This record gives sequence, structure tokens and C-alpha cells, in this order.
Amino acid sequence: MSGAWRWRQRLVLAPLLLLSLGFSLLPVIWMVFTSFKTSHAVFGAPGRLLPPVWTLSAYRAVLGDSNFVIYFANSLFVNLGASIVTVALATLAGYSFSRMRIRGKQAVMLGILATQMFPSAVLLIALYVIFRDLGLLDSYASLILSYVTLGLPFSVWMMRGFAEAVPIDVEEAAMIDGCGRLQALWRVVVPMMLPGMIAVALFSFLVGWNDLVWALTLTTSPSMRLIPPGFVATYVGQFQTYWNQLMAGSVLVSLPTVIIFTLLQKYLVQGITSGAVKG
Amino acid sequence: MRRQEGIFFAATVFPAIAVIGFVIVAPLLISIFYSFTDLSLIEGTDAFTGLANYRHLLADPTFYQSLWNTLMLGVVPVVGAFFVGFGQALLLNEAVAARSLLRGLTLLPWVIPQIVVSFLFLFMYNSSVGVVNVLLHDLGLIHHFVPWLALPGTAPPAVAIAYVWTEAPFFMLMLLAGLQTIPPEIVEAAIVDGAGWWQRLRLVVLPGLRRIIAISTILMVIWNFNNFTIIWPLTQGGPVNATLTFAVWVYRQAFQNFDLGSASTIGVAWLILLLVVTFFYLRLMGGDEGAA
Repeated sequence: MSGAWRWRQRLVLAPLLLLSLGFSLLPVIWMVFTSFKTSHAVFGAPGRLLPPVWTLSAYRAVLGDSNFVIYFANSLFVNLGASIVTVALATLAGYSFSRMRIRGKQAVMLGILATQMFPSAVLLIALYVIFRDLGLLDSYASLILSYVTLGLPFSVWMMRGFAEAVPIDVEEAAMIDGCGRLQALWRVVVPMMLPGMIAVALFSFLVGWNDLVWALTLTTSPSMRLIPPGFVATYVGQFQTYWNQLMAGSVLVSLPTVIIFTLLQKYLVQGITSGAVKG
Repeated sequence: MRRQEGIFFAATVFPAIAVIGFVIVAPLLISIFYSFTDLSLIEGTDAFTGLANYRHLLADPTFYQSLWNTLMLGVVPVVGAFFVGFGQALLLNEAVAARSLLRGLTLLPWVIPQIVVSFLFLFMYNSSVGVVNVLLHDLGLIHHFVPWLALPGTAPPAVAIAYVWTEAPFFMLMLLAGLQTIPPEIVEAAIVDGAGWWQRLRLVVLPGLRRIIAISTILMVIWNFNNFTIIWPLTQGGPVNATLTFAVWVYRQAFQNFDLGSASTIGVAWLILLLVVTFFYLRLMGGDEGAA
């Protein structure tokens, strides 16, 4: 390609790229800048992007609020727990689904995938009664179990894909050397599936972090609340909202997913797109 | 040896299937059963009432409005997100230099938790300090600040825009991955043959992306049908049911009115809608054996 053509191409692309980035990033920038404003600045000059005075007062207020800290800790605990369990279950099931040769396997796999589509609110009608009767409302157990299940069907599919990429010869060699199948799985296959396990852990964490309706329904006491219902309880329908504090809280709640995503972008992108791009 | 294999496979698959059975399949069947009862958490009734709930539902104008809202908020934002995301994918596919940085930045709206997206738009649409009002007012497009989320005419598009913003990056991600599987030689051959930009897009690029577009679109429609996290803080289904989707209606009926029977009936209608869409999704995913 000629140099002139290149330059013309760049001249067209640059403004479009800026437009695209503006669309994606301006709301985020707005959120971040608001979180460094005083409440006075938010109400006094609502259209001003930059804070007149940069201040951490909103962050201090949010982090000094014991409720926010409790909700945040609950969310972290429940979602970390759920993603660890999900990785364990999905790795075992995904591996076996990739290795077993039985009729109807594809039907079972499709059945598992279909359960991912079922609407949460409908399941919750019956689950609310079940958990209530088991005394599991307002417990970490019910939340972790729910979040494991939310991401599990797709995770099993992802792990089967990753297991299929591991050459069978390697584990067969290990099994000939006297390893049992479980040992071969643990020593040989699991290390090779590690990127997949990271993708699944991340996916599961993100699914739980995005939920509102399960947490809203399954918990009632403030000490068990997760962040999303906590936000709703704190900010929806209030007479006056401290937007700077809400935005500071929002930045803090976004940090775990943004950080994890930045560090592990490669694995997640690979995991999410591999199924759809192939074939 | 074969017997041992069988035990191993059964033991490793069982936990996942058991969890899915307990948290998804069993509650689903029980909820369907509830739809034939007048089970209520406050009145203490739980009699079998046959098809009474279904007759009530079909006679209720709210049902048709809710069905319409669910379809609209399910499909319209996906169309918007597709065009934005496809444009972004084409751009990033050209921008070789800083692609992974640009892709990361463009993905931010999707990486940010949905609860944050919801409250961010709640703030931006606010009728006294919202930046949307300030900008439109400064541009002279509106003379008074508009309570976008409180008017039946503006609330649905306002919610749809929030969906588009957070979902466009998903299309970008999938389509960019798809674009990169199209061999550059094919595109270059088309250029040599004198194909213009539009012809290349229509005849070379789009056919290669057909499957990925179909899968992403269907997934996104299903997600929108089920979305609660974004819509609930924004409108709770209001004003006057203008954004009442099945997801919001079931929650209200079950956990604010405690009427589990009729909530389940709405749920069954919602389920039928989802099954139709899921059917197409599974046909696409099952189409090739190796899909993950």
C-alpha cells in the first residue's frame, strides 16, 4: 500500500476512533470526576466536567460508612467463594464431558446450556420457598450456591472446550506410567487447562458481581446485604442523593472487575469468543 | 478398567449436574406447578386453582403491555448495540498499532458492573443535576430540564440507551475476534479485484461473520429479556408500567405483592418466550460438535 493511501486512511480513522472512544469513555470519566467533587460542586455547577476543587471527601465518606464496607466485604466473599467452587465443578465436569464417549452426550450438554437461559426471577419464586424452609435465607451458603449455579452451565461448556484442546496422548502416557485417571487429570491435564480455569473463575466472578435480583431476594438483614441491593437500599427513592458519594462508591465497586479484567484480558477474551468464532 | 472409567466419569459430572438440578431445574418445575395455584406468602392460601391464573393473565391489559415492553427492550437495544459494536470492531481491526489498549478501553462499559451502569445513568438522567439535561439545554435542544425516567414517553428509550452503551462492547469483542479469523489474503484479493469498501464488507466480511453475529445477537436478546439489574434502579418498571418487563413484573408480583401463584403464571409466559429464542440459540451452538 502506498504511503499517501495510508495517510488518507489515518485521517478518516482518527476522528472515528475518537468518536468511538468518547461514546465508551465519557460516561466513565464523568463518574470518576464526579467522585472527586464535593456535593456542593455537583449541585452548584452540574455541567462542569472537572471538579473545581479535587477532594477525597466522597471516598472518605463512603469508606467511613460501615454499611458500605460490610456490603463490599460480603460481595467479595460470596463471589470469590462462588468462583472457586465453579472452577472446581466446571473443570471436573468439562474434562469428563470432553473424554467420555457415550451416546446422547451432545443432548446432555445442550440441556445444560439451555438452563443458562432460564429467568432468575422465575426460579427465585420456588427457591425462596425452598431456602426459607431449609432456613437458608440470609445465609452465605444460599448466595454462594446460587452464584455458582448462575455461571456453571456456560462454564462447563468453556471447560470442555479447553479440555478438548489438551492432547489425549499426554494423559495416556501418564496413565501408562501408572497414574490413575484422577492423578493424570491433576498432574498433567489441570496445568494445561490453567488458562481456561482462569477464564472460568473470572466469568463466574463477573456474573455474580452483576447480579441484583438474587441478592435482593435471598437476603433481608442489612448485615448480609451485598453491594447491589445495598446500593438500591441506600440510594433509590431518597429525597436527596449525594451523587459524589454514589459515584465514589461506584468507582470502588468497579475496581475489582476492571483490575481483574485488565490483568487477565487475554484469557477472558479467548474463553468468551472461542466457542462462537470456531466453526 | 471400563467400569472404573464409568465411575470416574459419573463422579466428576455428578456435582455440576446436581447443583444445576437443585438450583435451576427443580425450582423451575416447582414454579410451573405454582402457576396452577393461588399460593400467597401473606394470605397463606395455596389451593389448586387450575387455569384460573392463566385466564386472569390473558384478560389483563398489563400482560400485553408487559409482553410488548419485554420484546421492545429485548430487541431494539440489540440492534443499536450491534451497529455501534460492529463499527467499533471494524475500526479496531484497522488500528493495528494500539489494538489491545484500544480494545481494553472500548470494553470498559461492559466490564463495569451493571449496578454501576444503572446508577451512572440514573445520575446522568437526573432532572436537576443530570449532565444529559445540562448538555441538551446548553445546545438549545430543550428549554426545561426533562425528568427522562419519569415520563412514559421517554423512559423506555432512556433505558434502551443505557443497554446500548453497556452492550455494544460485547458485540465489538465478538466481531473483532471474528474479523481476525478472516484471512487477510481474501480481503486483499478482493481489493485487487477492484472491490470497494462497501462491496468488501458485504461480500467478503459479512458472510464470514454470519454465525458469530447470530450467536451474539441471540445471547444478547436473551440477556435483555432477563435483565433486572439495570432496569430496576432506573425505573422499577414505571412510570405507569412504561418499562414493566416480565422480569420486573414477576419480581414485583412475587416479592412485593407476595402473590407467588400469579407471579409464576407470568413466569411461564416469559419462559415460553425464552424457549422460542433459546431453541434457535441451541441449534446454532449444537451445529458443530466442537463448540465450547
